[in-house]
Amino acid sequence: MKINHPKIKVLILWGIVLCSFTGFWIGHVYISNYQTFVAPQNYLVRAKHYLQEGQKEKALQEIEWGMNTFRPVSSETLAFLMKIKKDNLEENKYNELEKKYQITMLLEKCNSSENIQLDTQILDTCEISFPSLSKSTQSSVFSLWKLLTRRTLKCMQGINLSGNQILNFLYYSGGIFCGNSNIGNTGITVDDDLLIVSEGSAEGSGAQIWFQGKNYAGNRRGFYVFILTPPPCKVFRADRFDIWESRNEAIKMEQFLEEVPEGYIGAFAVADEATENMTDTLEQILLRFGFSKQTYDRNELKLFGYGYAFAGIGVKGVKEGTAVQNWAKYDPSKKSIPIAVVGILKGGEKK
Amino acid sequence: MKTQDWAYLNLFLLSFLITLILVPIFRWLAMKLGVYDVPNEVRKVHKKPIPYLGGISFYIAYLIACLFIEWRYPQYFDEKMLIIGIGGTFIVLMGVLDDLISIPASKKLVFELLLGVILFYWGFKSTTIAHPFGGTIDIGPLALLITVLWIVGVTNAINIVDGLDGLASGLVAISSITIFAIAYANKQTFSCLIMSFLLGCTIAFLIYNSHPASIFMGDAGALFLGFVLGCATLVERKKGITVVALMVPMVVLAVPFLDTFLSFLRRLRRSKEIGFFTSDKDCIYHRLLRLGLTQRQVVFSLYYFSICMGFLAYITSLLSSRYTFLVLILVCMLTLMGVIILHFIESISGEKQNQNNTKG
Repeated sequence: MKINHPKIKVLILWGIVLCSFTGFWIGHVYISNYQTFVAPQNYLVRAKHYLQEGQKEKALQEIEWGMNTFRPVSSETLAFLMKIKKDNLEENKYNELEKKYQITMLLEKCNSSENIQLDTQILDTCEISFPSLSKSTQSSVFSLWKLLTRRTLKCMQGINLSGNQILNFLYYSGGIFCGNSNIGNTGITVDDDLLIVSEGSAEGSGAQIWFQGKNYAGNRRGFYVFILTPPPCKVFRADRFDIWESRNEAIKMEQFLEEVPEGYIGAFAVADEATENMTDTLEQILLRFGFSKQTYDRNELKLFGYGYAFAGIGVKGVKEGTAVQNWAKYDPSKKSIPIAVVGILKGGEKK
Repeated sequence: MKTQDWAYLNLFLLSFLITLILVPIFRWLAMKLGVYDVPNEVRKVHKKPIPYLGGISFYIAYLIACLFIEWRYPQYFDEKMLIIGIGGTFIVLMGVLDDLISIPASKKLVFELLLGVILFYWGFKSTTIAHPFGGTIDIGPLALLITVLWIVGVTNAINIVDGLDGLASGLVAISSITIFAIAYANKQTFSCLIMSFLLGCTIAFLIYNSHPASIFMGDAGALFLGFVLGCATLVERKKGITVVALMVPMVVLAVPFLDTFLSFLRRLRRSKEIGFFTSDKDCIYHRLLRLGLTQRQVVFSLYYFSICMGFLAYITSLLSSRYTFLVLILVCMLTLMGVIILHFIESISGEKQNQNNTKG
C-alpha cells in the first residue's frame, strides 16, 4: 500500500512520536514510583507502609536506620516513632523521646517565627549527665550559644539557659556527645573538653571549634581543621580550606592532613559548604581519621553532602567508623540552617 | 571505575546500540512511506533521493536513555532530563512536519522562541554571565533573552550545518566529546550524561550517514540534537545559582555558530530582495565545495577545525574568566581571518574562472 498524501504521512509519524512519548511517560511514572519507595531518604514512607501491613518490627528497623542515616530527624519521624513505641517503652525512655520531639518541633518553628515558647524545665534533666563543667568549658558553652543564637537560633535569644541546659538542648536537638573524654570508639581520650558546631549552607554563620575556652574556627566558608597532639593534648595546627572555591584548596588540605602524624587528634567543622571540589583522595584521608560514609546525598553514600553541616572528631590511623561524627542535611527548599554538634566531655556519660 | 563512570559508559553504549538498531528501521519506514529528501533545491548537494527520518531514532534513544538512567542510576537522574524530553517531543513533531510539508521558517522560529520561553520558566536559564575581569554579573531580566537566544541559536545552528553527509552528526559528536571532557573535569554529572547520550547516538548514526549517506536525520533529527545540546549547556550547578559558562560551548560550537552568523548577515543583506527566511547556497560547506574540495574533504576539514576549537575550549575551561574572554576574542579574530581568507581564495578562483571563460 502506497501512501501518497503527505498529511497522512505526518499523522503516522506523529503517531509514532506520540506513542513513544506515552510509553516513555508510563515507564517514567512506574519507575519513579518504585524509586521513590526504595530511595534511602524515604524511610518514613517505607516504615508507614510496613506498619500498615502489620510488620511492626520491620517498620521500627526502617525508622531507626533512617534516623541514623538522615539528620536532622524531622518531628514527623519522631512522632511516628513515638506512636510505634508508645506501648513497649519504659516511661522515662518515652519521656526522653518526647523531649526530643518537643525540641525538634521548636527548632522547626524557630525558622519561621522568632517568638517561641520553651518550658526550660524539660532541659533540667537529661539521659546524659554533664556534671562539673570546668570554668573554660562553661565559658566555651556560653560563647558557643551566643554565636549560635545570634542568627541561626534567633528565636532562642530571649531565653536564659544555664550551661547544662544548653548542652541538654544541643543533645535533644541531635547533638552527639561522648562521655569520659572518649573519642567515640577510637580508644583515645582528650584531656580537655572539646566542642564543635558546624553550620551548613550560605545562610549559616560558620563553624566553631572550642578548646580550652578558645574558638579555633570562624565564620568564613570552608573546612576548618584543628589538630591536637595525643594526650597531653596540645594544639598542633589549625587551618581553614575553602573547598567550595577551588580544587587547589582540597589539594592543600590533603597535604596538610598527610603531614599530620599518626595518633594525632583531628577536629573538623564545615562552614557553609565543603563538597564542591572535594577530591577522592581527601575523602580517603578523612576516612583514615576514623570517619565513615554514613549518609546519602542524591542517593549516594557519602561522608556528607552539598551544603551539609559536618562536625567530627577523629584520630589519624584508627579504624574506619570509630570516630565521632555528626551531620545535618541542607534542604534549599526549607528555611532551616543545617547544624551539626559534636562534643567530647569529661562528664557526659549515659545514665 | 567509579559508579558515575559506569553510568556514562553504559549510557554511551545504550544510545549507540539503540540508534544502530533504530536507524535501519526508520530507513525502511521512510522508504515505505516515500519520505525522501529529493535534490530539487539549489542548496541540496546530494545527487539522488535519500530517505529521511533518521533523526526520530535519536529522540526514541533519548527517551529510552532517560528511563535507563532513572531505573539504573536514580542518583544521577535529574528532572531536567524529563523537561528536555518534553521539549524535544515538540521539536521533533515540528521537525517531522517540516520534513514532510515544509513549514515557513518564520513560523518555526516563533515556535522555537515560545519553547525557549517555556524552558526558561522551567529552570533552563542563564541568570549570570562571566565578567571580563573576573567573577560573574547578574543579568537580571536580560536572562530570558539570552537563554531563549541560546536555545534557539544552538538548535538552528546544528540544523544549518546539516547539509553534507555526516557533517552535523560529526560536529555534534566532536562538541559532545569536548563538553563531556570539560564537564567531567568539573564533576557535572548531568552534562556528562547528556553528552554520553549525544556521543553514542551520533557515532552510531555516522555509520549510516557518512558519505555516501544511506539516510538523513532530517530537520527532526538536527533540531532535536541542537535542542538537547543547547539545553544541556545551560545547566550547571554551582552554589545554587546557575553560573553559565556559555563561553566554552560557544568555542566548541564555533563551526555551526559561524555558519549561522554568516547566514544571518547574508539574509539580512538580501532580505529586501528575496526575503529573510529564504535559504541559499552560500553556507561554508557550499563555498568550500565550490572551491573544488570533495564532500569528504569539506567534512573532514570542518571536523578538523572543530577538533582544534574543542582543544581550545578545553584549555579555556581551565583558565579564569578574564583569560576566557581573551581566548574568545582570539577565536573571533582567527575565525574572521579564516572567513576573509576564504573570501580571498573565492575571488581568486572566480577571477581565474572568468579568465578561462573569456579565453574559451
